[in-house]
Amino acid sequence: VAAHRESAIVAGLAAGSWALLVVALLTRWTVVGTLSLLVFGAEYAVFLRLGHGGVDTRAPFLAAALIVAAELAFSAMRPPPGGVDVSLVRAALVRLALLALGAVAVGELTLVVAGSVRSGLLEEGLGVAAAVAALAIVAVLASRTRETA
Amino acid sequence: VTRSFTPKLGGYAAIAAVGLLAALVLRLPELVGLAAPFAFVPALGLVLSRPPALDVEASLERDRAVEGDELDASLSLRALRGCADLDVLLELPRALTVVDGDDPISLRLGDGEVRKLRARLRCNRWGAYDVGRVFLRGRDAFGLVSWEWRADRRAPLKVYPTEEEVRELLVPRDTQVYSGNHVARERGEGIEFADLRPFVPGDRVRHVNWRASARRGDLWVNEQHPERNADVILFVDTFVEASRAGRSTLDLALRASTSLAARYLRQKDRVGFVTFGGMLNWLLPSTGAAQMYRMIDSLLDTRIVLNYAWKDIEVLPRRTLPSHAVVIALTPLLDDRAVSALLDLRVRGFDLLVVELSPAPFLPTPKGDVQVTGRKFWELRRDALRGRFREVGVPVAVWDDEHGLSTALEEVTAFRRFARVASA
Repeated sequence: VAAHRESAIVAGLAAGSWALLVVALLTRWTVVGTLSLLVFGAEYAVFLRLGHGGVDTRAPFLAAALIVAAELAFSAMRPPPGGVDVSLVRAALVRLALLALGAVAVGELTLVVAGSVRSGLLEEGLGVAAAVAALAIVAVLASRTRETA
Repeated sequence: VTRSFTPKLGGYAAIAAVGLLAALVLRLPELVGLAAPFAFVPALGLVLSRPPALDVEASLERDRAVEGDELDASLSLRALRGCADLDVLLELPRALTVVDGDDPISLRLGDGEVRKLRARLRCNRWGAYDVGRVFLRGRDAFGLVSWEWRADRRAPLKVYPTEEEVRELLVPRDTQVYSGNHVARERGEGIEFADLRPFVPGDRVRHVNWRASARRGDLWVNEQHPERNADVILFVDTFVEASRAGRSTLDLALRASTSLAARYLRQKDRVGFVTFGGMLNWLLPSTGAAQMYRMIDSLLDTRIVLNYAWKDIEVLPRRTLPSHAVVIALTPLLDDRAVSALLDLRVRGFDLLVVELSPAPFLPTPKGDVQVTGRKFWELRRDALRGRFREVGVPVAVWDDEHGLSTALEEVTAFRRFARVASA
């Protein structure tokens, strides 16, 4: 019964994610789009918690799919232009393919690193520091771009 | 240049933050793999982003057109520093629409690349416009940072109203002293026979009517009407207009003004105009092709400007309304100030003709008994108003969808043929 209930939660989160994505595309509201991707991530997290316990090797491919979905969703939520040049479409497709490949590579690397590192307080602390550092780098780059642009 | 971060940057950062945090809390390395690209893309995008630098040129195929004409607008973009995703919008007035080409358009420009864009425009309505303000929005390759700026390359475009068919012009009651194409009421040197009179010393021998002289046994000479020019003042009422679906009585007034001015100027008459409304505008009467262009250029600036101040004819400079000028008023007869000014002109002895630009076609179809009755009352009041003009010897011709301008002018001619024009 519990497994059935947890499966229902996963299905509910998946449905919620799709619904939010549809709303975001219809209203061009990027906050809802972000929320839909987060709900999808939550659904995957619940799915993993219910899983067999080993590392899911499909995660890099899922990351690639998610980043491609995010790119397409954010493109669709932009105000519609009157006309689009072919060169722009071609470049966007190439960029999307490279992003997918990059996401697979980054995901694989992350899983390899996660599998090879022993678990411990120090490692967890390093993980937290790495996560904070990653976000800090984005923030610093953003502020620098604002100043120099 | 205005720089801003797109919502995508915030969204990706949020996904990365929540994903990494959840991975730590839930001890799921897969979530790190899922969230890492969302941190990686902003980092890479922000490192690679750089503001675009473009040279923008805008030009029009020509600077003059007639309503309904099509012309090309060209944009030339030269990228000193390219842009991965550039939106280009050529700002167009409402009277101009794109019939071929894209505006706005999104495109990609590499470093040093030159792109030429073309859009075919249709001029839907007369007017004087400035075309060439270009709005640009560039984004970096990942769509995280955007730069917005505009390039002002405006050039004037004058769209002239189409001419109405005018078969026969209104003949002025009085003429001026210069030679022209109107047969004057006075007698003098001319072609049109006027009368016979006894010979007096100084008369030319070639004016002697030998047949009449032989019959009467004394010398009689022919008198002629000289051909003279006339002063024509086009009086455009711009207090209010009736409009619907992009058409208005002001359009009709402008169309009639340009058509009449062109025809009268071709006849060597002196033509001037007065736009009498919220804003006063005038052009002193003159002749020639240059006057035609001056007039059209001035008329293109005509606008309806709401004004509640009472204005009478005294506000006009004296020279705008020369004596013995024929005043052709183009008015929807909707504002009492215009009606009062026109009646005042008549009282002052001007040869006044009113072409009523009927507002009826611009009104919605009445529904129900109340509206139908209301419309009938309104029409009766307008009939009464026309009656007031006719009482003082001013012909009023109605120009609407059923009757063209030519028909309206013929009505005026018929009125003047059969009615006795009171002279002041």
